[in-house]
Amino acid sequence: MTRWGMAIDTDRCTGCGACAVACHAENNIQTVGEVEAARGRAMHWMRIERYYEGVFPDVKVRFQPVLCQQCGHAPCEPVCPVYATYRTPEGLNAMVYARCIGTRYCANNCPYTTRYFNWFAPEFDAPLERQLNPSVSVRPAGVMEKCTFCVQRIQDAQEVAAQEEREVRDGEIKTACSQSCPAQAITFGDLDDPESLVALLARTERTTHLLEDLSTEPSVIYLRGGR
Amino acid sequence: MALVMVGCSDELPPPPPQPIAFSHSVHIENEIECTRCHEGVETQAQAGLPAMAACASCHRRQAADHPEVVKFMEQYANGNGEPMVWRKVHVIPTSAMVHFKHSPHVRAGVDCATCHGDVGSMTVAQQVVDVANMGWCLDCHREQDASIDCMTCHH
Repeated sequence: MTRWGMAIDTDRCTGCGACAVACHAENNIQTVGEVEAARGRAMHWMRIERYYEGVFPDVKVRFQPVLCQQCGHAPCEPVCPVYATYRTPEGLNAMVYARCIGTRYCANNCPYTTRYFNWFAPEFDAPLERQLNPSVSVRPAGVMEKCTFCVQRIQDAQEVAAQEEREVRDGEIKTACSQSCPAQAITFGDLDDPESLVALLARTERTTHLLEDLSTEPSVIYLRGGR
Repeated sequence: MALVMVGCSDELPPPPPQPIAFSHSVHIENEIECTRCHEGVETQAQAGLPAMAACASCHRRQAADHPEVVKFMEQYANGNGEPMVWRKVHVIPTSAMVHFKHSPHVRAGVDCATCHGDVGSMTVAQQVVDVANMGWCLDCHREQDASIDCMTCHH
């Protein structure tokens, strides 16, 4: 069985934000402008959080890319009254836009605040409307959206593998964030394949999860410290 | 049978007007395979339409005096490279946010006619099955033991 997962090496992350930009481009995420962003309506499926350690002048900045953790035990799922978000057989936390009626319960119940509501009809400043990804829906106003682990790329790779009558190879699927990371801090793959790189990283002692004591069983693993 | 009943409603949209009175049946009668013009259907999401140059490569000689072919060749010669604006016959509304892929269906052995009707005998391509009816998709997916996970199509 496949269980998609991601390992993010926070020791490698330089906070450059290329992942967030790539995610916007790949997934047709709208920008809301400065005013609405200040009201907390900015949409970034992938965002970089900053933590400052120490006292000036000995300050160290740590960066943490945060995206939907694709929880195995997701708090967003049971609160949806229309079953628009659920766990797929491949371990993704799916979001079905066509079902969503916009109650926003899921976003309120997400401890990672990685769900974003479309307050406005999507608008893309020219010429961005010409680079929309045809494999990803443009979400209308009134629905919730969030990171999909680039499900369109997963499906494309699975389709190519099926045409060539083989299994999907480890490393064949790269999410937009992992592809664009100059420090190669983001590794995507199948956690249930013991030979995969992401499963290997998940077995190291550097592994942590975000808000681990909530028992949400995230599929995103953060690596920190160690040699 | 129930499958056909669900798919065939009396309210199917009429065939949209096309720039050229293209006849599928004439091409099929002349033993031209579907994939000759709809090249992507086995490997891509979209089956695709042939470039005007592909039509012209045959029609320079074949049926060159047919009035519709003459009309086509004129547009091709004088159109400044603008593609022909064919109208879609089978439309899934964008509000459904469905990403249909042809290739997995062809690989699974689904005949073109299952969704498109017997286009090969149509002079005007017309919708026979309501492809915007999700229940119709799901009936087949259940029968064929294909994925019925929402995100397989809606993402």
